[in-house]
Amino acid sequence: MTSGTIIHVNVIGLMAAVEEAVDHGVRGRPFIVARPDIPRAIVLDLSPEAYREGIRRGMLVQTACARVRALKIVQPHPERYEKVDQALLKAAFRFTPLVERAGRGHLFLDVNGTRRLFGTPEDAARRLLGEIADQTGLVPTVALASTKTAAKVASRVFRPFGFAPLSVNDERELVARQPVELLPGVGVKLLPRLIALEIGEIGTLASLSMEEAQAISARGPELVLRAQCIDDSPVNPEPPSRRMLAGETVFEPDCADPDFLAWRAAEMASELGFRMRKEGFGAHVVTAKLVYTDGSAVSRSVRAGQGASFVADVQLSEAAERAVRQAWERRVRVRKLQIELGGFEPEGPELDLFEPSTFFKAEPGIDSAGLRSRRIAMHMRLQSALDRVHDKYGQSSIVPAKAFLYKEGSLVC
Amino acid sequence: MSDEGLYVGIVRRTNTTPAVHPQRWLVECSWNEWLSDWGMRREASNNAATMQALCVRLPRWVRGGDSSKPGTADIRRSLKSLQNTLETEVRTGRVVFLLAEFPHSFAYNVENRLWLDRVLGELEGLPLVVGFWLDEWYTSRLIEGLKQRNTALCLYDAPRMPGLPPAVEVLTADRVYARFLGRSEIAWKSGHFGHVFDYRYTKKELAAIVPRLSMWRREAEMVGAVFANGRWAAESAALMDRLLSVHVGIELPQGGGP
Repeated sequence: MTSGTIIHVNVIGLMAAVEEAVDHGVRGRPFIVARPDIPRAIVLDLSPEAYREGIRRGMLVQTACARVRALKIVQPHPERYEKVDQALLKAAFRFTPLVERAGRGHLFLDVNGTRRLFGTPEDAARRLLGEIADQTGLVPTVALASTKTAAKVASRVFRPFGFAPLSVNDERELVARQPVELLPGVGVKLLPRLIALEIGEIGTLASLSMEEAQAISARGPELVLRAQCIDDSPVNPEPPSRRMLAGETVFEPDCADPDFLAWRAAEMASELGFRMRKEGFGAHVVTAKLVYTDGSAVSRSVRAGQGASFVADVQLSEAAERAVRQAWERRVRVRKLQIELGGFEPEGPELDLFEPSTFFKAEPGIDSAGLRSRRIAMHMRLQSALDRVHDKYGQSSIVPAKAFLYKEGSLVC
Repeated sequence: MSDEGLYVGIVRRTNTTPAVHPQRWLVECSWNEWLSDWGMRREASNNAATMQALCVRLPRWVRGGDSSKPGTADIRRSLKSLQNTLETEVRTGRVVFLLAEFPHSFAYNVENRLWLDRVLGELEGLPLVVGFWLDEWYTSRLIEGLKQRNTALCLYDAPRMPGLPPAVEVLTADRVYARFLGRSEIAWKSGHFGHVFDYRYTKKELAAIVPRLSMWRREAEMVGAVFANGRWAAESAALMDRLLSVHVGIELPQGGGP
């Protein structure tokens, strides 16, 4: 039986696993990784023993301590986790250049075409597992399948210290038998809905028609395809959707004017948008993060609709302004503003094959969709003209009139 | 890697005794074999000659698919007496694993799930290992349930064929038990049941298994590797033992194993 070529490496509870490897004293004991010195600290990670006691990630440390008397709190060591993460990546790159980082301690590898170097994909997966164990002292769960979805589900089932080489013929059935909450994309919001509809297993979800799936959620059809193990997403070493652009402004003195904050956010979004468009992307998410004088931070995101993205300055500025106004929750001065563009997708909406000649007027015989398409085309032409000017003479060569109302802040990108 | 808690062995029905280090020697025996062995030792009150660690396969009625399965009223009593019988042997360290291997006929349905839950509940505290030949059992619910009950899932090294257990490895308890059934697809497809397990593991194949055993040993307190590859079982076990000796650094005593 043949197996797929996608390997998923999953180090369960990386922080706790690293702390356990460093300090053998905590091994076999319930402990959490958290910073108890800050107010309302939360559990960042936990040992399996603590999990069995009912403690969960994100729980308040106070609540966790009340639940387990002998709970040990370990301070987080980000540099250690980063080191282990780099070691994982280094081990993976020995087998293939196609390595995708899917969060800390999570990797996808595609070992297609490496048979003459490392043997069958299963052999390669085993060797990878051994190398990671030797180099880091951690034993991850490794799953081998033909799609990223199947590999992810298998790694969630057979853990910890699991090895699941699924054959192409069996993987669909094995995935279908698992609880629906293990399917990537089913989160805390969707799960109660699925349970209410008596969809407990991935196989039940896979048997839904597209109309039924659409009724469950906007992402329903995509989930049904995943449940059927139909997932053609490649292992992408640098997936555009994971890249992001960010800029920040530190206000001196601190700022308490929401209009000024909104304007600054719009300005930053335009600057970042210029860089983004140069690479041919549009952003699906615009996030604003406000850091108040007392050090607390609030962030809010504005998302483009299904299949859409923010491309033009007008769209980006408006989204950034909205995000800032949503994040502005307290009447406390703001020290720092951060704007982030993420969820990159190929630039722009689909335009007509032939450019329409008239932009502004609704002509007889032209429907609203046609008019909209013309308007989009007009915006894109205007934006590309602006970008050409900015590229040649700098960002300050053309600015919105509103900019003259405010003093300039210090932008750090 | 510590040598303690690492066992290599064979199934008793293969009559050859392999040259295995006495500390590591493990024999997997059936319930009836164990009962007769136990009775003999009680009478002789001298068990020096048979000091190898044992993995006892639980009686057929526990594993389902047997008409002698006790009635509902007797189940608790039967399981309790089973536990009492085995407890002393486990305490003395002679029985290190108890294997309940469920056949194909043990379907994944509510009745059998309840039965499994009852067996695991009643035999709590014993070093239980459960194995399933039907792949429907390999679900997240089972894995999580075994973890809660500190029961090991039997790992199989077998050809990748429909009808054989999937080649997944997962640690659900503080012990690991692996059965090596050979890798000959041709033998399995031939239909001659007497020869399906006959497979001669090469030194290279066994050498590739050593790091796995080493890794399991690092994470679990006890690891058992039993060769059930027909007439080559004794040879494979002996070779594996030698490879482990090199890996661990323990020399084989003069004259081989017991």
